[in-house]
Amino acid sequence: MPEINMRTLMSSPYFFILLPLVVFFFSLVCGRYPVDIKNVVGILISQIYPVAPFWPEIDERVIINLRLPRLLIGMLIGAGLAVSGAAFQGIFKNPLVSPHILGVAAGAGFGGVLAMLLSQSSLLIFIFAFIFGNMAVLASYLLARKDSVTPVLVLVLAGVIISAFFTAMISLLKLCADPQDQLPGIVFWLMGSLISANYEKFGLIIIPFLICIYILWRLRWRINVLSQSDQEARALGVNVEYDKWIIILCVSVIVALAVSVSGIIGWVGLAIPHIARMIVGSNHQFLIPACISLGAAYFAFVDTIARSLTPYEIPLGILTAIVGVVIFGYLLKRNQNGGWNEY
Amino acid sequence: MNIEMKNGMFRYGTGKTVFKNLNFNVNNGEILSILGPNGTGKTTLLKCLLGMHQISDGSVIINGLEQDKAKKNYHIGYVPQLHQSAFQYTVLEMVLMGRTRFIRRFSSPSHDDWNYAHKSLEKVGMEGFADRIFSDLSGGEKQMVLIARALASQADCIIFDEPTSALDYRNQYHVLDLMISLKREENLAIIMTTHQPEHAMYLSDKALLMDRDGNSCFGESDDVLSENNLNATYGMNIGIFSIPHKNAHLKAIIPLVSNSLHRSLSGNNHGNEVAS
Repeated sequence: MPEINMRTLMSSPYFFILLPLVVFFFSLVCGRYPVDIKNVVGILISQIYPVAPFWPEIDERVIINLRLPRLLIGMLIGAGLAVSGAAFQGIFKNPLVSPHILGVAAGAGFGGVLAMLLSQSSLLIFIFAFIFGNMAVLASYLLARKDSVTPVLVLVLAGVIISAFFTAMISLLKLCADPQDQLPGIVFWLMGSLISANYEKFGLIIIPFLICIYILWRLRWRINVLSQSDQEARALGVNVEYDKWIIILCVSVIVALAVSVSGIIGWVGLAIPHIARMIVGSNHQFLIPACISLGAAYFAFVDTIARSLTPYEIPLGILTAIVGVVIFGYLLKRNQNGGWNEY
Repeated sequence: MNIEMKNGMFRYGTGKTVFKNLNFNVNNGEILSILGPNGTGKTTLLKCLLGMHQISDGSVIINGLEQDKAKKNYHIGYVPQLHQSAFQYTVLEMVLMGRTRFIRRFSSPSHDDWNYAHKSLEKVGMEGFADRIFSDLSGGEKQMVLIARALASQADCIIFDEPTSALDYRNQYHVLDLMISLKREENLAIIMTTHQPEHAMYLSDKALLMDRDGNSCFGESDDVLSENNLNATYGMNIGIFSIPHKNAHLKAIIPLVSNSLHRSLSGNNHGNEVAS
């Protein structure tokens, strides 16, 4: 019997198409109230084509009102964060960079917490998180810019400064929050969760998310060139400053929207690009599509565990880290040089 | 292609002048070597030619037009001194990056781009390395791939920043010979910086010497690379010797430092007899 090469199998385009589909149905079936796969398929088909119901009504309510919006938002956020991580690692020429590096997550977190102190309106949390997330990136940019250029290293350092500032401001707001009424909600939100996901939020994020992911997808060849030194990229005919800022803008919008819907969820944007790189290599032409698939599948899978494993929902930030550490650690051990160089 | 600098001067902001009164030119099918001690502005000069810096005074004329106006009519390829990348690309992917100026911002390389990258690899004799990981190659092999990348960009001129500085003897001359064949077969204008006058003497048609006081000397390489000029530029004694070898005489450039003289005088010289 011929030996099956797992790496070849995994790097096939079919793998990246099938994986999110499998996880999609897995997530709809699994939960504290299990639904039969036959019923799930029937319910989904009935949304676009009239089918005589052969499933209990409660199944339809669980799938359509609870699981589906949450799953769609989760897959969108997972894909967005993973693509953002790959793009940032490319343009910052550093495999240790996550999409949060320019302070967008800390800024969005601050905005969200501020909104929670002012009101319990989820729309206000969404708006504040989005505005403050992008303000943080703008602050990093203004801090780093000198003589019409923003050197990569200075930009990263500016991001560290702005992140530290907003993290301190979040702590200050937590100190001011009512420990009985407000603080538990703030802490839970900061750890990340899709518990408040609904179609309204899905409608708010889907268009900007898809546009930004599409732009990053189309720029995937440029990211290869931008991952070379700035001097080489310029000599190869790239307008480095312009292209870099298109990518930073797209990533900022994605991360700020993600935080505004699900709180701060780390690790996805750092680990998924590495896992994808171990499978398809460093060329962003293949890496970006792989990240879309793996990010969506990973986030949906982890969220399913978060809502199914225990009677109480486990915060997503904790689970994305634990599951990511296990998978990433295993792959790192198996493949010591995972598509990046030491220098 | 013709590149000409007239009275070129560069300084960062209002700071120290890096170079001044620089005059030189290079045409298709010519190699210009730029030599000088560290800190004389060789790399800054390359950046000015690549359009990354603007000279503070004087002019850069390319094909008869000011550099800014000529921008869309030419392309200068660049082969860096040291290439470091955080990620592992294959050799073919590296060469394909040379096609970037033909690939629109939101597009990916076409079938023709892949073919051109393959042909560029063939030109430097590296076609068998297409699927190898670039960072796994030796220094000489990497240099060849970077030259192929510059060729893939269909450049009219290629700038080499110290192309042999990290290479062993054999690879140094392999790269230099390739540069000579590119000049002849592709009719390219080639500009290189080097710290080794013997390399400039080996392949260049023209030479530009830059010293620490901002003075320069430009002309045919045989005229410029004289003992007097090299001594004045580097601030040390450098001897140019003619060595009989088979039926020819080879030129050798040797720094006359006390240790090498001491070793020669004490009878440790087992090489050819040197006639000044």
